[in-house]
Amino acid sequence: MSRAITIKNALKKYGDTVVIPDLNVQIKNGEFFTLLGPSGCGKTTLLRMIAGFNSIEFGEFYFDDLFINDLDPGKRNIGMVFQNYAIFPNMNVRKNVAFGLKNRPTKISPEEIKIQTDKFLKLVHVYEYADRQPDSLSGGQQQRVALARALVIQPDVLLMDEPLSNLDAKLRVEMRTAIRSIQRDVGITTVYVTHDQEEAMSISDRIAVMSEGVIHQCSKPKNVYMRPADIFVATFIGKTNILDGKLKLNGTVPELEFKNGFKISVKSVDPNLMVEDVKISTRPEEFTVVKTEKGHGIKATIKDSIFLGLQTHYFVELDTGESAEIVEVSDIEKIIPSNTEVWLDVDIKKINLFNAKTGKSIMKNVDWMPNGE
Amino acid sequence: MKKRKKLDFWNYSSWIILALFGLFLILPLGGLLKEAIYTKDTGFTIASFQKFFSRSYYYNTIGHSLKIAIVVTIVSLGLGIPFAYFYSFYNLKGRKFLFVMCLLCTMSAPFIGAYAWILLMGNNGLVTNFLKLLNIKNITIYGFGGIVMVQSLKLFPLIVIYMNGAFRDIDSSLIEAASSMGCKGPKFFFKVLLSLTMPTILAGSLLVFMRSFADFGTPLLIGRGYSTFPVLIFNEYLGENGVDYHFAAAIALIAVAITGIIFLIQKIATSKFKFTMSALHPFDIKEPKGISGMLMHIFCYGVVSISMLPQIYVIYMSFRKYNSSILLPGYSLINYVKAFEKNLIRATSNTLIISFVTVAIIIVISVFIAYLVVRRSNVISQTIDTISMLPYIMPGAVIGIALVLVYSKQPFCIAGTLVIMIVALTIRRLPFTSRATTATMMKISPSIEEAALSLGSSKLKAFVQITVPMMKSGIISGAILSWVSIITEMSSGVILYNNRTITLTIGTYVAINNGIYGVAAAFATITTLMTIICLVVYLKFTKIEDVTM
Repeated sequence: MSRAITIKNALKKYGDTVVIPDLNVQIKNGEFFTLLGPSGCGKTTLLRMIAGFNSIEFGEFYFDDLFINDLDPGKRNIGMVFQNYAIFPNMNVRKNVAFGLKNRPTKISPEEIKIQTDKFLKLVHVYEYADRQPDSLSGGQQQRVALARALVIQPDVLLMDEPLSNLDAKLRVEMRTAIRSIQRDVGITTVYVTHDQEEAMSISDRIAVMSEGVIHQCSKPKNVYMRPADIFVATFIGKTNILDGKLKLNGTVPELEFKNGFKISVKSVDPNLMVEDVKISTRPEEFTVVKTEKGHGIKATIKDSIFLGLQTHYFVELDTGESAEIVEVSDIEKIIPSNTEVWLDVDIKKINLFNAKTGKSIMKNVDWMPNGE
Repeated sequence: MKKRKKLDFWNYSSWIILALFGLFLILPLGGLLKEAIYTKDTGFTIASFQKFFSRSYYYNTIGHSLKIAIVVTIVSLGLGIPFAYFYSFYNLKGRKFLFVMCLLCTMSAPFIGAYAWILLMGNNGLVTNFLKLLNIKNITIYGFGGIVMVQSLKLFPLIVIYMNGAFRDIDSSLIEAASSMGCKGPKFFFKVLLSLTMPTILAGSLLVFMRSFADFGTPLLIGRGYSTFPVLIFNEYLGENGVDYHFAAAIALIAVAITGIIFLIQKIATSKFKFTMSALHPFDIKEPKGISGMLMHIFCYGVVSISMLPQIYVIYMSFRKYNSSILLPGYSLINYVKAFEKNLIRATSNTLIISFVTVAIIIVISVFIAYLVVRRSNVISQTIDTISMLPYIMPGAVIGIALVLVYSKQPFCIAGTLVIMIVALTIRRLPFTSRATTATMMKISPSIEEAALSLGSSKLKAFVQITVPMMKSGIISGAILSWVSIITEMSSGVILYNNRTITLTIGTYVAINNGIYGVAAAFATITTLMTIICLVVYLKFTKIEDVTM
């Protein structure tokens, strides 16, 4: 039976080093929840605290209303998938998957073990390899076995620690689709750790973006991308250009002024959070090149370009003195040559403004942590 | 919330292991120390040490032993490094055979080589007599030169095994990078290959040095006036002119101090070359061509043949006709018949019992140590790890004396039983096997065990069902190596044995001592046979490239 996870005031220390200072999060029943962050941000540490492999220095961990702090990992009824798969090399595929069933508190009959094992071997498409030894399987197949082994015991929660990081790029995309669809079929609460933001976006119901043991934002992939809660999230998720700007009221409407004096009014700023000094986050695709027309927008000089098929990336120097990267859908005509002067327009609905001092977003409708405090 | 300290299975086992070490290693060492500096009559005294350093007859033995060990190490490197280079980089004819012969040389009982060389080059030896015909005299196996030759021929394969492993860890890109920068020939060999393998060269040198320094059988048999340290310990302990336990204990302590210092020097030297390599793309093995190829073959086969010669000659001699110590023409099984009368059966069964029991104990303890050190690193497990390395610097004779001092008195009177032999051998071999199991353990990712735990398995069950099977190949190869060295062990046994607890090696030694050379050859042949069986079993479980000592 799938359960919700509640973490209150979690603290993790290694010696005197605080890895996670004070973390609160609620993960809904059946949700695919991803912990995303750079390496060393504490995401794996948190996952291992949920699993029971790391001690909990302070705080309370619950599966529904079951207090789990002092439970051994084996008694938490979790399914865990490890980065290196952790397939038992001395057992064949079937025995690996059946291992957990043989260690249940209540004994399961051999017939039932076989039925369950077969069911999950089929679910992850490794049934035909059931009698093989693990070392004759490819990385992707081993990963599937690991998933079957974790799911067959019908755990309350499924924990996955960077499960795809050892696979090549193509297989990674294939496996994440497979994991997502299996998770939906089984309908189990899943906590997934990754440092790959694209992977996180494609697979998750919700993403918690972490850095230095703190959750910066916890929301749906679209919200995290479109309305990042702070500059860290904006720069970590996708690419963005951070520019300086001033925010002033023109009558009642806030007006954003770039360093070169270009002004544009922004409606989506939260009036309560208004400040004068702001940082502007403009994603590369939020700039539009206006090639000929002069006088409107920001003047820029093309410095370099990369053609990537679907899109062309331009590296430009703005007349504000700042550099930026912009993306255009590739044109049938030629790529704009270097040292060409162009004019840029910005998609004002999409850009994000942050308080220059605190780094926090000052936009309306920022979904910071819907289920948190 | 307070941290709770749970007393689990591993805590208990670490205390038990610590207690065993205390009882069988620390206590005897303490006894040794007490014996050396304390007598009933005079109380605390350093008289024994004064005695040692007052007479050149005594203190010269340190010089002798050091000189031998240094020269043997240099000669072994001189033989072993080129051998390993040819073996690793060139596809020599019968590569596998060469390597297996190397293993056999180094696994064979230390003094059987010495004994065979007596038969070949002793006063009435085959080679000596042949040289006499050519009017070449004064070539003898006895003394410094003989000891160096016998030990080097036995120990150089260790360098070959170590260096082969190190060469294989050199990535081909490093070699290509060197040659792309124009580094070739001898410069390439010394500046690139040898400096890349320096940590291994140092580790191998230490091993050879320690074995040579602690070797007891070779100098005892062919030293003649050239007395070495282990021989001195033995003589003072079982001396004909009255036993002086205090003095023997003092010498034993000096021996530990010297090996300890050498161990530390090596540690410091190694720390200067602290890097590790592992090859993603091993280099290609070249075909040996032309004159250089021929010379390589001559060198490798020459060295191996000379090393194997004594072994083969002993087997041959065991089938010759003897009348007690007089060699008669013709062949017979008389030596084996005589050997049966001289406890061959008892010696063989004792050897088997001792080796099996010891290996079993060593396996269990070393697996536990490996687990505790790698997975439960804390003060107790670190202490266990350090203590378990102590015997590494203790010559066998020292362990033997220390055990006798403590365990020949009540309440633990186990001297003169198989138990004390098992204890001595366990202590001697444990560091080697526990090093091997610890290395194997480190390669096992902790997440494998965590996977088992997350699936509801208990800690003990995860260890027995998952971890131990994964360590299997490492454990087996470590165990067989221990088994061989237990079968061929001599130095601690010779102090602890009596007529009831005689083993094959000691049987050989006793027969040589009594001048019945044919019987000695029969004992030695049986020992060699058992060594070969071990080697065959070992190679069944270990790929030839992965051999470690």
